[in-house]
Amino acid sequence: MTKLKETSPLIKTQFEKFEQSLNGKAQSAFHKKRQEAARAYQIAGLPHKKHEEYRYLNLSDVKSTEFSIPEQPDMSKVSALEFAVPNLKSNRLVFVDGYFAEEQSEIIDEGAFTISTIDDAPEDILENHFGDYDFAKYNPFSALNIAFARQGAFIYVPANKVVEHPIQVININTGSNWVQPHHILVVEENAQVKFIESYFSESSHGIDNTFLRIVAKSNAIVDHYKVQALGEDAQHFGTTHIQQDGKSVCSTHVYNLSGGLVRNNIRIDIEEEHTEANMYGIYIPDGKEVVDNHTLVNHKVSNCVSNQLYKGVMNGHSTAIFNGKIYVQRDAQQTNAFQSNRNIQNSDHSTINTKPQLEIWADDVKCSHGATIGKLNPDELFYMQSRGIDREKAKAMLTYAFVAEVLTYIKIPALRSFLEEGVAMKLGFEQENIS
Amino acid sequence: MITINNLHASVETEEGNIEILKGVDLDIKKGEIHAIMGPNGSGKSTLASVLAGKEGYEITQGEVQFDGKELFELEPEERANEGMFLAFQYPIEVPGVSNANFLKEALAEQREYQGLEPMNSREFLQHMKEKAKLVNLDPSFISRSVNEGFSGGEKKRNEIFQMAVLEPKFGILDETDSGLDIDALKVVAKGVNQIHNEDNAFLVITHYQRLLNYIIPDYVHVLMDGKIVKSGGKELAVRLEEEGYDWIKEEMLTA
Repeated sequence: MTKLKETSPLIKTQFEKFEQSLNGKAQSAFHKKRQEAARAYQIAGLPHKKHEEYRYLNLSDVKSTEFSIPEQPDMSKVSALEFAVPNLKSNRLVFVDGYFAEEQSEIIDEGAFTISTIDDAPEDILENHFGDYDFAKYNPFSALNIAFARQGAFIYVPANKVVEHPIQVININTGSNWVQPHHILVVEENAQVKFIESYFSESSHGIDNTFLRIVAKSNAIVDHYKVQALGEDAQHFGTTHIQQDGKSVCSTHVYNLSGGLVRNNIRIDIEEEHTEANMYGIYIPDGKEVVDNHTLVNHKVSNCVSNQLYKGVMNGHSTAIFNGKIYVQRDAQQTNAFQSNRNIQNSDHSTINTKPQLEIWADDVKCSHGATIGKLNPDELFYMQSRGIDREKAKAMLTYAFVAEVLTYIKIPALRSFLEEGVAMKLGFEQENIS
Repeated sequence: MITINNLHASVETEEGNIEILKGVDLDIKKGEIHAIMGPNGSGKSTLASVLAGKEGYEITQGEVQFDGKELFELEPEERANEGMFLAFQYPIEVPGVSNANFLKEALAEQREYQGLEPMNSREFLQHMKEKAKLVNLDPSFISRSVNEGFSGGEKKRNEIFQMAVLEPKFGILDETDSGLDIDALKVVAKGVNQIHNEDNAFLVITHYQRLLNYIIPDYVHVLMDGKIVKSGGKELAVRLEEEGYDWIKEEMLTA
């Protein structure tokens, strides 16, 4: 067994074993990318404290965890439906410990898109869309994922298709370490899709290291929702890389309900003009939970818009980290880029590190960012108490109201209700809908 | 209903405590409407805040009995659930919390406190609609956030509406008339008069006599420099409006 803190050379042994298990497929162009990633990882190793991108995150637990590829679990013991968004008619793909659970999956929009596991995806698609990411520099976790990528959903929406029902990829960790699904979503020209990527724990622990790549071709519209409800000692390292062509509109949401240590990386590369990118997120850690969101939107060309709204509430002894980068490259004139990160610190024992980071090389752009950290307004609290509402309940209601604004951007009503309920429950407020 | 005995209260400031109420005595029985008038800075709003339990004040002396209970032993929410209601001078905006959820929660807590079953959604909505009519509020406001984006007049009407929904035993109106034009004032007064009955009581705090043309008080008190210095019937309010407060100061000096 290989401990990751001993890093790199020893991963090599694991990788060689992995290659042997591929039964001849190890010769493909696709596999060359895995080899490249394995080499990159061997050089980089897991991030250390001085790694600028991991300064505030304590990785000592994960570093001392033995690296191994999880065994295929007994699928019949996992009831995936428990984890599906309730009351949502959807195309459902289920992965358990990174393995595709075909019997628990269901496609209702036949013909609207094609799916396969990464292992069986067409060579030319993999050539274009797999692993093409500057992983080593930005994220050794991604390198590790790519090196060992085998299972994961490959979803292809052909040009001009509108997928009627959302596609829901449910990822369940039964308590295994180094579950590393690698999903790819390619949305061709003028096609539209709503995509939910959810992560759940079946036990209190386990390590996910996930990767999702979204390619939105010109005029495509993609709504991506990442939902996390993980065990109290579970660790999740997840990367979403979105590449947008001209006139496409992508919205990417991250809703973290629970998890011991969670790191989400989002990177959006805007490749062509008149493109819109939106990012929304909520984190509400309590207890000893740690949630770290790192986002980057890279404006490479002119006349594009990006918006970002992330809200956080820290309770207990929790820690939250937000780092939002906006790059506006020299050619990206007439860029409009907005970012807002607002936080409420409900507990004096909690910690929030927020860092907006704008790097602008163009000279004719409109960019703004704002980061706030505050407490609940005492006048609002008293007002609610004066109407008979218990102080703790009033706090929960106000806290919920603060973050719920973000949920209004969800375009799938059933998902919105599910998250409203989940967020309210976590904040100690049983929400009732009255209209 | 409520008996205030030699109440002394200070406001906590960075430079130390400043005494605002310097021995207030007041006895309000059920069915009665009392008005408190007084110049700026006399302690009117402090009295309202102290009774409702706002933070930032220290009670240095005296006691208040509210319907047989020691008021200062109750948390603000317990006072509300015992039947006290403060209509705020400056109602607070609560973004993201709808009027419906706000009042549903308030009503549920009140009913639980009183050992009653919660209302179901239909009963609750019916109750809300009935009460909204009292103060001419468009029912669509129910789904809007509490006071957010409301005009001054709407906020004041919303206070009276909330009071109607919660049906308190004892209502305090803290300068509810300020900033209201005569039409809005009439609406607010009409609402209060419909809520008023022989089992509840009101304390109307105001700077001007005009409101008292529409909400007729049984007693009028003058609060000056933290004490009630004169009490009388509704005609006292008329004289204060016409002559100001100087004659009372003179009376006090000669007394």
